[in-house]
Parts: sequence; structure tokens; C-alpha cells
Amino acid sequence: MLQHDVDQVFIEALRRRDESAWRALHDREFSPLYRFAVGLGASPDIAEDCVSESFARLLKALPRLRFDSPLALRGWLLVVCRNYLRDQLRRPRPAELRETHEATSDDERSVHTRLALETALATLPATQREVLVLRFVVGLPTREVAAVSGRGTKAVESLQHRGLETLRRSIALEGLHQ
Amino acid sequence: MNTPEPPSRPTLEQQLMTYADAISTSAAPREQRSWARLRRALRAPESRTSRPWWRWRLPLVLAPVAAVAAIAFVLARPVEAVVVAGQGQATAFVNGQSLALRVGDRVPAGSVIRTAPDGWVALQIEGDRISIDTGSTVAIKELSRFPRQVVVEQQEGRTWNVLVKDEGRSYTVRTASGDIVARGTAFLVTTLANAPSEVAMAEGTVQVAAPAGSATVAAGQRARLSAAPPVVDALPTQQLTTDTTATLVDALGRSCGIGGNHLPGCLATAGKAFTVLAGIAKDVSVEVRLPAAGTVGIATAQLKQEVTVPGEGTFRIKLRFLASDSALTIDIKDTAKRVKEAKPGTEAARQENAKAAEEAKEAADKATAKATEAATKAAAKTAEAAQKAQVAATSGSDADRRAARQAAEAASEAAEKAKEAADDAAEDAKDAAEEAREAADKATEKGKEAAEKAAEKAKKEAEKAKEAAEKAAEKAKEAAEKTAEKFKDAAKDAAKEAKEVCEAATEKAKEDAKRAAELEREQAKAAAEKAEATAKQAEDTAKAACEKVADKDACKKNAEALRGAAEQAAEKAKQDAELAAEAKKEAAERVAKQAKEECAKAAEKAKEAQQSPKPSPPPGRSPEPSTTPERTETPRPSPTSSP
Repeated sequence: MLQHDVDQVFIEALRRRDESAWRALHDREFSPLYRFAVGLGASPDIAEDCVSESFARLLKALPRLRFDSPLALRGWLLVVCRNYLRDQLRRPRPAELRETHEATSDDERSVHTRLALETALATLPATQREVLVLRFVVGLPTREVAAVSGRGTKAVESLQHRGLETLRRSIALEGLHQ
Repeated sequence: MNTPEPPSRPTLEQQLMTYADAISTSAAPREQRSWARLRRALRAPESRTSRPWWRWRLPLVLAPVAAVAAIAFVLARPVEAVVVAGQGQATAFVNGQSLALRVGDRVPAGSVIRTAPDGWVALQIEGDRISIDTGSTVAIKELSRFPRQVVVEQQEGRTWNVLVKDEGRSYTVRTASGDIVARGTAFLVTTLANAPSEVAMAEGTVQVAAPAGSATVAAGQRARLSAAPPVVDALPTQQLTTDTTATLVDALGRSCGIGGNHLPGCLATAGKAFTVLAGIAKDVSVEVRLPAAGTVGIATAQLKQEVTVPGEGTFRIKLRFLASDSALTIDIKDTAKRVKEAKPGTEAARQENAKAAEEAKEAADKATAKATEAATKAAAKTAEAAQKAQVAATSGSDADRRAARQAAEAASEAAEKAKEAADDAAEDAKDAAEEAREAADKATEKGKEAAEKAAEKAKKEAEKAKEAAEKAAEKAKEAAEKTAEKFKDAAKDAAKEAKEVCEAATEKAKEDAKRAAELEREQAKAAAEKAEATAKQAEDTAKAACEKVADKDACKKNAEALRGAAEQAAEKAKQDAELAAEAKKEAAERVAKQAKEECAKAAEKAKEAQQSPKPSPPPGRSPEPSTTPERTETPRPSPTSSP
């Protein structure tokens, strides 16, 4: 059986609301989606809501959507999650303490590194941030990043390059301050 | 010596990936929660959020089906009579329940509609209109679409039926006397208790079917339905035209014209032409609305009248209908009464209001003068009549007494007329004052003051007129009462005198009869004595003659016998005379007795005469409604009171 046929069987199972298929999809896609949300600046709660909402919308929309592969499903979920976050982040909300990612096992240095990264990512322009997050936090290849962000591959590469430069400068400056 | 190389610093990309791993690690418990939510959503009943292709195309498929269904629904729904106009009390009895009808109500078949003496109602059945007159009872028997049929049973009263031309529809009005079947026409059906039903046609034709026969009745004809075959004769009608768009309205608010053909006996053929039937309500006016002052031309076959309208607004011009068996004539009043003011605020409106106030004042003055004149005339007439009555009552003879009574009645009538005239004049003055007040209400500040003054003045004048009229009526009443009193005294005297004369005559008759009887008796006695003497003389003569004859004894005997016979005859004559005298006496007594009875009767009559005429009622509103047509407040007289 070709990979394409396997994908179609899987998608058909999703359409039939097969719980095992959905469980497999959820296990595979939860982490990238959550990372994407957090990478874009969402709090853990909003990130969780974002992932749940993306799956819920897929469940509703799946009967009238056509996907060639489960990878395409991921792209669709990421776009939905991004739109949801835009709506959420646009809304004024009471100031909340940024939750540290209770990484108790991490040493102090790694915590510092993470905080420095988050701070530096927050200073990036939204397009550069999105490309960097998709590329390095979610771990998508350039082609898929281009598909999700709605840009060409070259543009994604350019944004990635500029984003990394900016990020690097920001972290260096942060290190100098510290 | 080689120093160990410091550990290589991770690249930025590697740091980002480490950061991603840290996020994933912290997200483990959240992943479980997220899956739990998704599982609940999966297990929940599937919501119909998706729309398969057939759902998009369904409306296109269903649209013609829905259209057909809608048409079928419209055709299948029951035909109902809808109340489109009405006033006063009209009640529908449906399935044992009563419902006070209002505009917009739907009345199903099987309902009985009853209107109060001051109520009317107009129903629309598809395109047909039926206006149920005051004091009528109508049952809606059948309203069907297949076949298209309307059956109305008119139990009492009057209906005005204006039907659209529809050959496929049958419209029947059933009465106790027979049925009227129409298709497209306008006709008036009248059903009175214990009287034949009547159908009067304004347009088209109807077929009337009575137990004894049927007939076709055309426009301008009427038919009476009774036990006999239907009688068709000409119906007095009249064409009325106006030179501007108008509506005919009556006191009950029924209109004939653009607003509808609710007024029984009136069919508007256009906004300016009307066919009017005999039997139309008497208190009908032509209502016109003009943008500016001008004239309104109203014409009938015999008459053309130009009525001046003083300004902008809605005006009414009164019509009077005089119907006979063969003709209907319309009298048009030459004044227009404003019923709705022009819009206030404009200069034209201000001028109009000022003018109206002035006119109202003039009208009030005129009315006052009229009232005073009428009251004076009435007082003079009453005084004259009273004088005549007094003279006649004191003269004594029967004819004079009759004249006295007539004069007293005339005086009473004159007083009544004076009262009515005074009331009318006071009413007119009141109306004029009211008009002035209305005009004042609508006028601008300046005009308002002037109009209010005018209204106040008019009101005062009206009050004065009323007072004058009341005084005149009071005077007339006093005069009538005096006349009546004098007549009463005179009649009492006359009765007394008549009694005395009668008694004297009776006595005299008695005396005369007695004397006649005595005389008769004496005459009879004298006759008897004479007869006795004659008999004795005859005996003596006979005896002397007997001396000469041989047989003297026999002769003497004969003479004595003759004498006896003569004496008997004399006695008998005497007795007869006695009897005759007695009979005469009795007859005289009878005559006297009769005369006495006559006297008693005459005395009784005289007593009755003393009680009449009655004095006129006090001035003011009569407790019974006036019968003068112009002042009648009752809605309408019975339409078929004059055949």
C-alpha cells in the first residue's frame, strides 16, 4: 500500500470520528501546536486553549475539507491556531504573570537561556518571529513554513536569516546587560 | 601543555530547539487535558454544521414545490367575511359565543350578525361588500370557494350589497319571502317583520325567486317578494354629480365614494358620480376637500347648485331627499359647513380662520335676530289666538264653543311652534358660536384673540337669543294657560246654564203635558156630557113621537133602549178620552224624562269640555323626540316606511 493510500485511510478514519485515529493525530500534533503557541508569546493556558480550539474546529470542518496528507492537516491546524492567537492576543486582558515553565530539572543556566530567548523573540517583528518559531521551535522544513505563513520559500529564508541576526543581537545585548 | 578546549557554545538554532524541548516537556499534563476535551467532542452527537451538496440545492428544488403549496394553501383556506368598516354596536354569534365586531375581525360561515339600532357594519367577502344596516339580523350561511358561492340569510333589517362582476360566483340573499340571486351588481334588500321583502337595484340585474314565481329585476327597478308572484316596478333613482372629487357621508359615518360604498342606497360610479336610490338615509351630506377657497358644483337631473366654499379644508354640504312613488328629488343646501380645518400656521390659514370667525359671528347675529323675530311672531300669534278663544268661549253657543276649543288648540300649537322656532334659533346660534370657537382654537395668537372675542360675543348673543326665546315661550305658555283657563270658566258657565235651561225645559214640558192632558180630559168630559144631553134629547123626542103611535109602550121601550145605548156610547167615549189623556200624559212624561237624560248628557259633556284644552307644556326640550326632519337626532327613519 502506498503512503498516499495510507494517508487517505487515516483521513477517512478521522472523518468517521474514529477515536484511535484522532488520538494518534492529537499525540502527534499537540506538541508542535503548543510549542508554536508558546513561541508566539501565548501563556501556557492560552496555548492549551489554542490547541484544543484548533482540534475542535478541525473536527467540525473535516467533513467538508480535502487533505492530501496528514502533513497538510498540521499546516491547517497551525494556521487556525495562529488566527486564534491573533484574536486572543489582540484582546485586552489583565496583566498576568508569565508562567515559568516549571523546568525543575533544568539548571539555572538553561532557565536564563530560555528567558533570554523569550525576551529576544518578543522583540522580533511578528513575521520574523513566526518564521523562526515555525522553523526552529516547531521544527518544520522551510517548504512547510512557507505554506503555513503564506509566503514563498525565498521570503521565508530571508525572514529566517534576518530574524536570527536580530535575535542574536538581542541576546548579545541582553548578555552584556547581565 | 595543552589546555582543554572550553565547551563549544550552542548555536542560536540549537538554543531554540532546546527551548522547544523545554516547552514540550512542560506541556505533558496539558496534553492529557486537551485530549480529554477532544474526546468529549468526538463522543458528543454530531452537530449538523456541514452542509452536503443536496442541502445547497434543496432550496432550488423546494422553491417551486413551496410556490405550488402556497397557491394550494391559499385556494384551500376557508373563505371568510372580514369586517372592513363599522360604527356602533354589531355582534357576531359564532358557535354559541358572542363577539363584538371590530374592523379586521374575521367572521366564518355559520355566524349570525346583529346590529344595534345605532350600529352598522360592512363586511368584505373576497371582493364583494355587504353593508349591514342598523337594527338588522343577518346569518352568513355559506362561504365556499369550490364552488364559489356566498349565501346570506337576511332575517330582519336591510343590507346593501355591492358585488364585483364575477360570472363564476353565485351570491344569494335569502329572505323569508324568497331568494335574490346575483352575480355582479349592487342592490338593496329590505326585510321587515310581517311585510314582504323588497329588493331595489342600483346596477346590473338579479334573479328573484319567490314561492309563487320568479322574475328578473334590472337597474332602476324594485321587486316585492310575497306569497304572490314577484311584483316588479320602477324604482325612483337619481344621479348626482359633482365637479370635484367628493364623498357622500351620513350621520353614522357611512361613506359612498372613494372610501367605499358602505352607505345603503348609494353607489359611487366614479369619484364624482353617484347613483342614489329611494330609501337612502335622509341626513346625507356631500363631503369635499379643497386646497383653497372656491365653489363646488353639485348637479342632479333637475337642479344644479354652486356652493361657495370659503377656504382650505374639508367641508360638508347637506342634501335633502324627497322620495315619492315615482320620483326622487334632491334638495341641495347652499352653504358648506367646515368639518376639518386647514393646516394652521400659514398666512392663508390665519386669514381663513379670521374670516371663519367673522362669518360665525355674522351667523350668530343672524340667528339671534331670527330667534327674536320668531319669538315675537309666535307671541303675537299666541296672543291673537288667545283673544279669539276668549271671545269664542264667552259667546255661549255650541259652534262658538267649538270655535273656542279650536282657538285654544291653535294657541297651544302656536306656543309649541314658537318654542320649536326659538329652540331652532337658539340651536343655530349655538352652532354658530361653536363654529366661531372652533375657528378660534385653530387661529394664530392674534386671530385667536379676535376669534375668541367673536365667539364670546356670539355665545352671549346666543344666550340672549335663548333667553328671549325662553321668555317668548314662557309668555306663549302663559297665554295658552290663560286661554285654557278662560275657556274652562266659560265652559263651566255654559254647562251650568245648559243644565238650568234643560231643567226648565223639562219642567215646562212636564207642565205642558199635564195641561194638555187636563184639557183633553175636560174636552172628553164635555163631549160625554154633550153626548148624554143629545141622547136625552133624542129620548124625549122619541117619547113625544111615541105618544102619537098606537103601541106607546113598545115605542117608549125602544126610546129607552136608544137612550141606554147613547149613554153607553157616551160612557165609552168618556172612558176613551180618559185613556187617551192618560196615554198623552205618559207620553209627555216620557218626553220629559228623555229631555232630562239629554240634559244630564249635556251636563256631562260640558264637564268634559271643562277639562280641555290642556295647557301647553313648559318651554325647553320636549321629552319626546321632535319629528321635524331637519332636527331629527335619531339615526334614520325606516327606509321602506313609504312604499
